[in-house]
Amino acid sequence: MVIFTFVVCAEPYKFEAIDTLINLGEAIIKKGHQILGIFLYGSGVYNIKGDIHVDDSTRNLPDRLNKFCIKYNAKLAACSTWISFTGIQSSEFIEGACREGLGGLSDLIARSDRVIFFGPGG
Amino acid sequence: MVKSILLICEDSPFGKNSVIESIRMATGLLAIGDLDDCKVIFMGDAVYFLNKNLNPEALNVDPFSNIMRLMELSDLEVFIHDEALKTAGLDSSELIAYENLIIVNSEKISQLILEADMSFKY
Repeated sequence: MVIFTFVVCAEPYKFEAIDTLINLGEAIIKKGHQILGIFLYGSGVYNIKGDIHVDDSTRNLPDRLNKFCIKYNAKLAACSTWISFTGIQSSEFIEGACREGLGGLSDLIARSDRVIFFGPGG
Repeated sequence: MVKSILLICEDSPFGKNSVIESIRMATGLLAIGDLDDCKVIFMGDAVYFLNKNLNPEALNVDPFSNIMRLMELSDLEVFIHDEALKTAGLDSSELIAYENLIIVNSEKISQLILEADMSFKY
């Protein structure tokens, strides 16, 4: 079994990082591997917002991400510095998500066999 | 498990904060100590960041002194692509004085990528 961590540096809807992450994650788990966690970095921290409004024809990414993390017991954390930059409040987070410093990212990386980055960086 | 990381940055220090963020991430990960090694490679326009005559204040950009200090304190190894330096019209005498600054060719960069457990372009 291979342990994966995903790092997302791209904001939702403008980029399809979360869509790809979920699809890839499902395929990885289907192969018998594990997703340890998802770390949101740079403008990727916007993916942590749960209270967004989408119409019926638009996929609800926070909901999909939330369900993915719960179903596969994957940790969802966002960079504390970037959360501060964006002004997102913890009350707006997807349920179960948290803010962490680079220590959280370091811990996930050190416990993973593979780390996959999505997006253009900070 | 992942024990070494290589961050590759090729964006200008102005217009995007990838250079700053790649150093911040690298020094943060080194300081935490979960990983054995973390290196940064500057390619493309990112090499301008290391020009000792750079004057961000002229563009009303925050000075880079804090991030430079962080780099020095952590003894972060920073590699510069020789071709990018040439394209930028810079030579080694115009770079900041930093002990762990190493000018490398494409072959060495390939080797660094192969040696690292994971690498990503910031």
